[in-house]
Amino acid sequence: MTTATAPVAKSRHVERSRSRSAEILGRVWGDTSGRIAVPMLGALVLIALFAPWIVPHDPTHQNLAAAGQAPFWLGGEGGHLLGTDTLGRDVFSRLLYGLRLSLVVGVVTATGAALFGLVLGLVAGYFENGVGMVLMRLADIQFAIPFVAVGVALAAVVGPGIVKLMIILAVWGWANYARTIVNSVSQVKRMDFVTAAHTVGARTPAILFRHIAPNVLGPVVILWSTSAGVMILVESALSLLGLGVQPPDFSLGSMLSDSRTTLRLTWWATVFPGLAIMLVVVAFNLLGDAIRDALNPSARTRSDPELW
Amino acid sequence: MSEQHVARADGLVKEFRLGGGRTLRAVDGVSFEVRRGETLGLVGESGSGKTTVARMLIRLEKPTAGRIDFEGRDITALRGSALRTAVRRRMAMVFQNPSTSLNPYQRVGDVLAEPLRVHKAGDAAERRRRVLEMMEQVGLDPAFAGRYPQELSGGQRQRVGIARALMLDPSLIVADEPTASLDVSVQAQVVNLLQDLQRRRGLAYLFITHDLALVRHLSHRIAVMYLGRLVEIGPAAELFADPAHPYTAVLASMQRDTEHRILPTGDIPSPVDRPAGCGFSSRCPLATARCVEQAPPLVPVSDGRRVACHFPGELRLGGEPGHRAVPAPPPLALPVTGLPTLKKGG
Repeated sequence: MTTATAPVAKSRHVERSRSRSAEILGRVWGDTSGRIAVPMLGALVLIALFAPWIVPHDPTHQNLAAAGQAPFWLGGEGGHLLGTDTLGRDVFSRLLYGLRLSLVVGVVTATGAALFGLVLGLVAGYFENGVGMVLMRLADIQFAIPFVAVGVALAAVVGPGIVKLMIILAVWGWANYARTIVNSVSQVKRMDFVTAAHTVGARTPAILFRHIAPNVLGPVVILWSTSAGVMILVESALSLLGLGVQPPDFSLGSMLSDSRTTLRLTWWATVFPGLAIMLVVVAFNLLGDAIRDALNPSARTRSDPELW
Repeated sequence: MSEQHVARADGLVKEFRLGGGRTLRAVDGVSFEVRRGETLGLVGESGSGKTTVARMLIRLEKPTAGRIDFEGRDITALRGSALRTAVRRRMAMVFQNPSTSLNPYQRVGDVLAEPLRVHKAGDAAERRRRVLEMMEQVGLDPAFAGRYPQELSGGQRQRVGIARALMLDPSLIVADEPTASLDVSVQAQVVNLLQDLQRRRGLAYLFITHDLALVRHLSHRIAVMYLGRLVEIGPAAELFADPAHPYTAVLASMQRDTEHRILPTGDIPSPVDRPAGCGFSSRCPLATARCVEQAPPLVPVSDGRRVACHFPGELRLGGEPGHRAVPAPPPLALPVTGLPTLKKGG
């Protein structure tokens, strides 16, 4: 009897955890900002993915004869949708390709920093008088050092490269998250439900990740969504210093930096990548809002009782 | 050692370090035992140390001095997995406020499955079965397993809290004012549930409360705390009918008609620089020079009763025992601490 029911119950259990994430996704979709963010980000990701089949020109092909042409709808010659830059490269094609690297940099570094910062923030808040003190002083020190200086120094040691830069950004980013949640963590750890977890014998990792983490996740998600945009911009600043993406590779950020000196001549080569970054940032922020609300059980009216 | 009691506290002391090298002695040499299947009521005003005693007993705090035995084993200094098997598995706690004692991000079913998961009891299917079974036992619709605590009423949440405490089939439950944050009608239901579970499972309760009507109704024995010390302990009915300690008499008189109430005067001493003698001497109508100088030890006065007073039984109650239909609202706060200041102000 028991042996017969066990596999059934087990498969129900698996189904339950799948439908639980489906429930959260459903709530993101049900949220107004989520319903804007999801198609927006979806479109951006699809465009980035299928860029090789969409682009009208080779994004790295230089044609000095066609340099600095305005978009065709502003009377430019050559029929370029968003004009050409000072080296005669098609801005629209470059924008689609640049989007690929920028999206990857934004998502990967922001996510890495968020995970790293969440774990260290939980540890720092939980052991607030020991390890926590040390960690938070380290964060203070880190805040006092400009990242660019560190980036230059590290690049000198490990050499430039976009992957190395992403790792450095992700590691450096922990302090922001940790500092944001450390006080909430030390508040939550004194709440009755954490005491209750102690009285049933729960171990420290379970208390940290099962009980405290969900209660401090809201600000982490918001910070994650805003920092995805910030990371894209930081990457562009560092690429300008030669620390990040190296030509002939490029990102939206490096397109901005490359063209900013000729803003008066070819403003389209700066403005459109800038608008693209803005779209990405807005989409991430909206998504962050929607996820935070979806994770918060008190913001919902009623859950599906079939889910347990 | 006889197995008549499930837990025994012996000379428990808890000191908290304050700033400036001062210490607060929240609990000062408390000894008692909880017998199998009984309810021991622990009463006392806010700051009397009753919650600290409970937290030490269930080993959320480590005593500064003293010894705790539980199920025939010294648990005073246990840690890690020894603590987990000897205490966490066998002793449980019910909290005052069910809204803060349940993780808002955990579904009811997960809350109840957690004790089983921690102690690796059964596989997922078995745990699920036991959770649903327990929900029925405490009068919760098993369909609530997928709900979050916020979707439940206060009484339902407290039933979840009680069910969580029962999941590992403990021998002792420490209940810290489990009805204080509930509506009166719901209080009665929760109390009935606790009594019903005690009868069916032979549970022992350490029941902390300041609700005197409730504690008399629910407890087999009552322990009265004042300023970190146990001043009297004994069978519930006797203790309230014929109090031996003046402070117990004050508490018991609150159940009687207004003109028979004994209102203590003076201020509550601070546990930081506590008086050398009896903690109650500054407010006691019977206090003499001896009370101020010399602290009375807790000594037996009759069978099963112990009291810490130089003049046991001398403060007598007047009037008839009152009968209240419903548990009284917290009767201690205003008469004991509020009135003296009101008089001064007027």
